[in-house]
Amino acid sequence: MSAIVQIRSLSRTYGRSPALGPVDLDFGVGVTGLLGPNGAGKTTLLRILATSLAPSGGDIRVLGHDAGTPSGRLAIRRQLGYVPQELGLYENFTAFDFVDYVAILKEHVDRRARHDEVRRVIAEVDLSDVRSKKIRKLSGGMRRRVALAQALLGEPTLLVLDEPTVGLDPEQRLRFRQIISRHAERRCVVLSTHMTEDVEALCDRVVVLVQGRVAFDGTPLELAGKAAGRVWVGDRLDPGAAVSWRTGEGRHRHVGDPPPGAELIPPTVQDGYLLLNGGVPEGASA
Amino acid sequence: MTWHVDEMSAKRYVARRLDGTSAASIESHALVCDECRTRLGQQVDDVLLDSVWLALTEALDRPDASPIERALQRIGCSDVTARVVAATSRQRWPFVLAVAISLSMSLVAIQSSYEDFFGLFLIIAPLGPLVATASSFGRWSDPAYEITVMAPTPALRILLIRIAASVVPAIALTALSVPWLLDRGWFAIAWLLPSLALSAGALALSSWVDVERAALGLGLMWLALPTMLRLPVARLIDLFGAPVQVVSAVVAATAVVVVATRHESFDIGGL
Repeated sequence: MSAIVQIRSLSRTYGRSPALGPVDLDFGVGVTGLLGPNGAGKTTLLRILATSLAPSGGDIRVLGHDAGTPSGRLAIRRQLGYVPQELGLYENFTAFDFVDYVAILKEHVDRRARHDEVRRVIAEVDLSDVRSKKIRKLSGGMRRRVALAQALLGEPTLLVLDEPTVGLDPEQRLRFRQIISRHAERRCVVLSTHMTEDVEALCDRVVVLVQGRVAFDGTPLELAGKAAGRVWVGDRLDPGAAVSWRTGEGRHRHVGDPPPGAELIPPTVQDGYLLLNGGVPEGASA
Repeated sequence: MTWHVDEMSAKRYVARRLDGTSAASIESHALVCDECRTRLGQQVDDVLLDSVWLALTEALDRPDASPIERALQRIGCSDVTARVVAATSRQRWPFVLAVAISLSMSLVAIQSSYEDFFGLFLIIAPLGPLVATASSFGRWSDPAYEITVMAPTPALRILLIRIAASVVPAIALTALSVPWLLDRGWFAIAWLLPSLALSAGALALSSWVDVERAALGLGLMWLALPTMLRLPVARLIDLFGAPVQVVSAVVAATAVVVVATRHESFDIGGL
């Protein structure tokens, strides 16, 4: 894997509180998912990657450009698409106007060419029919897609997405996966999520952050493998399990150290993540 | 249906060689006749059709400029600058409110001839431009701040455009009070230099902290100044004498130097 992003000894503190690192990571072509509990440093890492937050220490290079220098940051920003966690959209703009506004900021100066590009990305996220609607009238999922459309402007080499699937219904999430996987064929996509299903379905690589450090870096299959032989089902709740929950079939699924004779089942990414994190991720009910 | 467009007329229509009356007749007929519409369609060159369709889409998609945007374009601003200003038009209400308060204070001062109100007007007037600075471009005042700051367009450029677009009207609106205060001599504009100093100071400080926080801090310091100097309300006017005017000019000039030397600090959003 040739690295598009190189991160070395990267750290960030807020006041005296360490939020991230030091971490060393390389990202290449494909989709990398960042998993971790709230406060693990995912958003901090992505904001540094998107050059909207300065690191406290370490280096970050994107396509060889040093994010620590103004010229490097400018070069990175010209290759970057970013969807922040908090969607900031102008409610009184139409979807087209907003994406057009971001295109202006992204130096698409020629009006005709810019409008063509805006139409292209809006079509890509399947919003052509509502592009003339005010953003305040769009659903949460549509707003997410508007945010994604602006990130796709100019076919960026690096796409940074902070919790892009929050608030999307299952159909929208599938559509989102389609768009991202299409882009990731030739580009680098780094996204954070609480949804282990997204990681399983979309990412070739997963990085788990716990308390600002890299607790795991590998494929989703390898993460699931962390829980091999440690997931079992039973008809009753097993008090010895680290985490248990009742499944839709009425049986109890346990993760932890199985008792002798337990009915072992294949682990999932969520199981591996649970064991690694020692807790319950958002979205899973214990 | 009594007639149809013949092949020759269709060709001439598409080639724009028909006179206006005949062309209009064909157009109104084609609206209700499938057969003729098809015949005309067959004559149209695909390239021409695409370009017409694109022009139509372009016209439909063209952003609907707000009155502010149109006004800016009319006075010569580029459409890019006008759009950057118009994007956060709602954020202007706080400074409009601040200016309205200071103007009200000036009106009360004129009506009542009570000296205290004039002093209060002079203290409050610089807050209008300061609030305008705070609400121009920042994490709290611009919903798309993070997307904007990581775009290749320099954040300082956006900040300066927005500040100019809000501070200039704020000062102009506050200056509406001047004709009624001419009997006060140059004190009628004694708020101007402190206004510029506070706004420029907030801009300079925003190379270290959010512009909103910088403006809040400076605003509170400004309001606390009479207390720190132990000036009673009746003597507030004394604050606007030559020393404060000179200090204000120095602060404004220093702030400009700070902005120029620290211009690179503005392009990182969350320092």
